[in-house]
Amino acid sequence: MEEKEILSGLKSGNREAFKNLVNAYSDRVYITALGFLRNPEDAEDISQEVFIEVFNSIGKFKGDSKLATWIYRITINKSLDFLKKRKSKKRFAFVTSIFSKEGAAEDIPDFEHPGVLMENKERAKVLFSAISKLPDSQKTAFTLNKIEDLTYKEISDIMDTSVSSVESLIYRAKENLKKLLNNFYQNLN
Amino acid sequence: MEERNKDIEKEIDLTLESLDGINSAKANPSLYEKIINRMETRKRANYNPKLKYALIITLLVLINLFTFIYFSNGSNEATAGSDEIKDTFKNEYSLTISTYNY
Repeated sequence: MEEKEILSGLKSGNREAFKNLVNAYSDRVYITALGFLRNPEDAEDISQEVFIEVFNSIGKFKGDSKLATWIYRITINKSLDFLKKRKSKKRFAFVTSIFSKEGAAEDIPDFEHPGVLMENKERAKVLFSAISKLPDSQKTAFTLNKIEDLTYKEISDIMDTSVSSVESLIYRAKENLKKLLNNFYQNLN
Repeated sequence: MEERNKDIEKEIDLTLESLDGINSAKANPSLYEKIINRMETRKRANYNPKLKYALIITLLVLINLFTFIYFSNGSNEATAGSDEIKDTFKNEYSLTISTYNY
């Protein structure tokens, strides 16, 4: 099914069109969510929420961007919202742990991305942990570039910003990552 | 020290390159079915709330009505009962309101 057919099918609530949409975009949505959330179950949960949002909000899609761009935006927003909720849960758990004998909630264990080459797995774990500490905009730009392999132009469309802003975000992300990694490796030995 | 810093710099570069050549992960093949399941579950959950709230409100109104009726009847009975006691008391002790000419 062509994108136009999918769009008009979705707008009339056609399930077949929706199925085609899910099949066409499920991998991209899942990979993007996985890059942000570092947890396959959470990524799958968010993927479901993304497609439900697409189904329910298709009437709001004006067509001034590509469908893929719109879906990426929903994925990123839902992923970042999930991360914020996860962070506040951790903070709450930390506060309650002060009054509890059980101790603080555990951090998310090291994340092994299923697509990373075997020889890079340990370093990739460290890198994902560092990426999670970046500000949202740098995290988004870096993740879309490094994991999704999107061009700066594609990223600028998704983030609704200029190409030069994307370049700047990725540059700053790399500089911050170098600092975080330097701290990590200095303290390691 | 310098040697160590060089090693760390090399490690940082390798770490930054560790995502190069990353292969795509695949979504769950039954993702579509899970999505439909979730949508259906939410639809069913949304069907009930209005009915549920209507029932709860009706129940509360009935309880209040019943309570009001019960205590209204109860107070009438209590008044009737106390009137009986007064009459009995009056008759037994021949209490009447009388006026005396002093």
